[in-house]
Amino acid sequence: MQIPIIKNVLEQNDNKAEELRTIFKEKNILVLNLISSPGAGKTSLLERTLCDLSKEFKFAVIEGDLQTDNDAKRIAKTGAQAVQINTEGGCHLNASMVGEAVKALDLDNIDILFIENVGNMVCPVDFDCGEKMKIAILSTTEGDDKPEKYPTLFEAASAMVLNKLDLLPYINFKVDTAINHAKRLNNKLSVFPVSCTTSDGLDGWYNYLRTLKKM
Amino acid sequence: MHEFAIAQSIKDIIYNNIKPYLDKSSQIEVELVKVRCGALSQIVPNILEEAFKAVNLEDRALKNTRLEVEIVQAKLECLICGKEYTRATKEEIFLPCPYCNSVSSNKLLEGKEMIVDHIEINTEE
Repeated sequence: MQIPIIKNVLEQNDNKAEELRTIFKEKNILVLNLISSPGAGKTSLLERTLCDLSKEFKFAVIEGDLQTDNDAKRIAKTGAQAVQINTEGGCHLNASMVGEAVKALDLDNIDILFIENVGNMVCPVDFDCGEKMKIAILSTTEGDDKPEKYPTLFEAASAMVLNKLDLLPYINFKVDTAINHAKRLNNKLSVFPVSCTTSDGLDGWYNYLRTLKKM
Repeated sequence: MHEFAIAQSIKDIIYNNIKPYLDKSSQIEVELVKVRCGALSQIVPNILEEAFKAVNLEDRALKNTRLEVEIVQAKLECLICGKEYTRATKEEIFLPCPYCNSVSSNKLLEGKEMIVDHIEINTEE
């Protein structure tokens, strides 16, 4: 006997994410889900952002990693609230993990919450965590073909931070190639080429955060 | 790797749908589950099949279920000429628009979805 179903596989996660989004909206918290491969500089970008904008915004970070609380310790040093989720091998965060982590945060004292997803350009894209937007982070050392290889992330993201600009003189990375491919499926993608080491381009990223927070 | 999480979600959806039948007979078995995935859904069909087997190894109703994945073409709109066209794989997404040859911007209309389409159950003893 055939039973028709026609259900979105991720419906349960999507429903939980919607619940979280409602809470974040009520509390007027801007939530951004940062997705990149391991080592692209998510934590470095956060350290810079949290320090440089500490007088303007109250930040919190949910750190997703397979193991260790190294990243949460780095974030806590900036004075922001930080919660670590260890996925114990799991390749992405999902809405219920974020829901649990949120319980450890003082939501009345947060302007901007970053979800630093597990380093992975594939799996985290499919799992809505209740964020307002996904932010893709690409670093120059990964190669300019990554947006072509992983189009789904760049299609789903609202912005791309292109990190490690300071290394361009030493590597063969074509900025235009990466940006053109990233925008191929997403012509609204905002792009911020930056270096967390030299501070180049960070002002553009900070202004973007200020604009998002006012929206 | 996220195929395991997807496999678990598919299992949950199947159980939500076979509950009325299970209430009548504890012996039912699910023979087939058909899943449709868009070309950009990031699912590797044979990994999903293996993951589905692994999460159901000890499940009476699902341990012999065959999972079939149908990859559905992605549908795109060219933002230069406005025409719609389809692409079968992720790699083909970056080919020029078949109508105006543009390589600039497309809008993805369909291609990321993951849908449990139907199941087939055996209600015989």
